[in-house]
Amino acid sequence: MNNKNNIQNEVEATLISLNGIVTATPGPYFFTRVQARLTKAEKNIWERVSSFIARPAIAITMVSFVLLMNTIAVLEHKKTSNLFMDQPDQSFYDEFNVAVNTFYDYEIKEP
Amino acid sequence: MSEWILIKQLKQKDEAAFKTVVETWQDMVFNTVLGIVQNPEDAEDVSQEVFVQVYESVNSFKGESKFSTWLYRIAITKAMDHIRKKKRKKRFAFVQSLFGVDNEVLHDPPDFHHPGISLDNKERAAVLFMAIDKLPENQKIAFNLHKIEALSYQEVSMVMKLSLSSVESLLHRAKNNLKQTLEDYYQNYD
Repeated sequence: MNNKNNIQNEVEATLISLNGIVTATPGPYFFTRVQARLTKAEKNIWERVSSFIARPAIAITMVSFVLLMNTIAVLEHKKTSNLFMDQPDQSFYDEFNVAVNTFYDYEIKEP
Repeated sequence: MSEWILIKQLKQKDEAAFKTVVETWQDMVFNTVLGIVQNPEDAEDVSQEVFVQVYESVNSFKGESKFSTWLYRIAITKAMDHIRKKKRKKRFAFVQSLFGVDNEVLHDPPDFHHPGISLDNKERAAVLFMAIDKLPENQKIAFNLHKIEALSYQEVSMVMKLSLSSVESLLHRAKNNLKQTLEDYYQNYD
């Protein structure tokens, strides 16, 4: 019981140990250091851009986007070339008098 | 110089105005950050970042709140980002050590002694800061703003963009958590 009371007293004393705390101050010439940091930040804008692009999430997203665009382009191209295969240009055949002779045409016998 | 004129000049990237802003608010920013990161070198570093951020993004300050409220928000955000970054590095170093990579011994940082605490309270305050460090993020922020920055509940609610009742609840839970941590500490200490 005594021990519990002691602990409670310690806890209470610790909780009020921040009373009367004085504001801490940074070291001297703080503004000079801030200015130097600001100048450095302004000079490094291209480094910041490239480090932003190099971030894994950004880089992976950009690569995935490029791959997706390539896939769409390939699929579109395939679709377009299939379209040409299914619908041959009839005017080509007429102009060059091209007849599509099949094997079976030669087998047709006159009645 | 009136605050509004100062901010207007700062938006025009006037160096003298920026110097005035830094000199006026550097102690407030440093003290807030120090209470959260609990390391003077890191606090100095983060405080510099805060003012660089202020300079770069002052045009986004619309005057809907006080300038000091806006400053507190930036300071807290930067301080919390710093802590999260440090924790991530620690976790990554731990994972590396599991794989036998770079077996660097990780030292626990020494007790934090706030320079603004009187000598007779220094040891107790160090224990309290250890307990504060274990609080969940929002409770830690609210406790720091109220106890170390001496902001009222209303001012804390404006900085944290929370309702007054939420701030009261946060501080109540923070106090209970601190009591629990301190009880455990003093039981084991004996």
